[in-house]
Amino acid sequence: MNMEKSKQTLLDIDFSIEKKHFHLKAQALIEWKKPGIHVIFGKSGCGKSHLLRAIAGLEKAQGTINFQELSWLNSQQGTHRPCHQRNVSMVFQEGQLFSHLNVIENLQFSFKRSHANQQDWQHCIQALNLQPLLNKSVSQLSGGEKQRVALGRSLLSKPALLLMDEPLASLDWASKQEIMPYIQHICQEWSLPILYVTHSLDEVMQLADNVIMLKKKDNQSHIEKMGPLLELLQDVQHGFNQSAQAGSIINGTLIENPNEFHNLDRIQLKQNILFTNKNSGIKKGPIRLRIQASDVSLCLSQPSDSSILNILPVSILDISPQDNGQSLVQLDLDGQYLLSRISTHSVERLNLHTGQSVFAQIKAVALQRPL
Amino acid sequence: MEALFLTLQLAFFSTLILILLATPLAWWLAHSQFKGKALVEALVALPLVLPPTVLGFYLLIFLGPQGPGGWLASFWGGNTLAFSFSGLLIGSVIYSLPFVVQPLQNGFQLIGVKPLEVAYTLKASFWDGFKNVILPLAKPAYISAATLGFAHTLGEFGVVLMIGGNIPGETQVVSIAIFENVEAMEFSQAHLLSALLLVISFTLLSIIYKTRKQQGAGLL
Repeated sequence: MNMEKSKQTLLDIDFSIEKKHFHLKAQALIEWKKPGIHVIFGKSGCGKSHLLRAIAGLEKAQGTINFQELSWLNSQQGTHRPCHQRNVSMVFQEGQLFSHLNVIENLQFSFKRSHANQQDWQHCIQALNLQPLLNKSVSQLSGGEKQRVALGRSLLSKPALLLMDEPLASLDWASKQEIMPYIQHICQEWSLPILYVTHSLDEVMQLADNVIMLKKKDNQSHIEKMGPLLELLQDVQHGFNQSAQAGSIINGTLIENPNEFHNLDRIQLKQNILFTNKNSGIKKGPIRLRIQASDVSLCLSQPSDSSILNILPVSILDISPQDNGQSLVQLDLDGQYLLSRISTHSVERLNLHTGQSVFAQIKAVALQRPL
Repeated sequence: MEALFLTLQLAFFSTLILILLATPLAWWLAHSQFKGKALVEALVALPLVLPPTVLGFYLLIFLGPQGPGGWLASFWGGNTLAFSFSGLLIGSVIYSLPFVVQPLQNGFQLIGVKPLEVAYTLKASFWDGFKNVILPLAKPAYISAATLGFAHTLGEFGVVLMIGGNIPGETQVVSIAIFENVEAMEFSQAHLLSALLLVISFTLLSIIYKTRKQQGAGLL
């Protein structure tokens, strides 16, 4: 709403959470110089959600939490501001809409208890395209629609800080792609600081302005690193090289496509061109892509009879075998890193080695966002 | 017919008291991490397994002139709560407690704390959230709890026999009246009362199963 006056938001946390089999120590000064998304990121079970819930006041913690000039928690002085007085709102996994209320009543529940005015109501309905859903019952909504309503419900409570706890975790790929632009849009439009928990690399890449990386070792979790996404890109990805989500980030330029060639987008790298399915709404210009390692396969010569669109010349920088019979191959594509995951058996069969020039077949490219 | 009116009155007030009492108890049982919780649950469930005579016996002592009930009665010049409507009410409440607590506890457990947490994050206090989120969500549980409590109080016999005696208009409920009619060979009267109780109980249970079916859960 008030896009002109972007104000600074400060969340100062220094607390620990004791669980039966688990100990979390969180100390950080989280700062929003302008509205943006800080993503708390780490593997499943490292305590990301506990951290967020403690900030919301839904979970017991020892230590201090200060938001702006307010003390939310000071366990030594016995201060514990209850959740409903912290002026935060939270979007949970699967939306958690109230099932005894329909969509409009869910929105009203929050509207009635906040300072939101009629203009905020209209704005929220419009921004999230909720008009067609208003009179539906919660059970009639798809997963993505539920999250849109949940997002709207949170907005209408006019929070000073929006917390999001794995809001997309239970959605399919298409719904995720549908919701993510809304989240970005909302963040800017309502100049809202957002703290967002996820274990998905895709969501970090697409949404994060800043990253807070949590690490767990021997049942002890702590904040390992934090900073702008662009500075921590390598660290963020490195943690995933062992997992099914391993992949690489490629920067390129979305260029004009003469005669809308087969409904594809063209992305110019240094010398090569990548094709992706047409993405509406992304403007021409510099762009970031993510390519999953499992979507990249290798061949020794350029196949002429493949259905795969993107077959690009690369050279092998490194081959690291993993425990599961797979190998992660690091490639040089026009001066950028590209990761490929193939079976160790194939590495041996093709006699792949460092320095070799091969061709990478890229099955799918996910357009991320403008740089 | 006096007996029938008395029975309905007893069942109504028992249910009312039970709902008020069982709500905090069931909420606590559903969500507390307290270690001794199992003991409390066992205590609440006792009337399910104990012979009504055992319960009635202890209640008789508890309510009688030597017990706290007698002390309480002395405030208005009596010397015992046994053989009175209030004594009967106390007995019924204890006797039907598990039938009200358990559906509520199950209901609260099924709902979980999540909806309440969501309400907190939308600036609702505990009472606000409990009243406007938990209670509406627990409506089916309340319907079963109230109906079960009511129906079970209708069928009470042993406890009433022990602590209520058989004073027409004061403690003589339908189940006792039927027993008495049979003893006195007044079969037509017994037939009438029995049929009435049968129809009422059947109707109430039908209501429970109907609401439960919508919830997709068992009886208790």
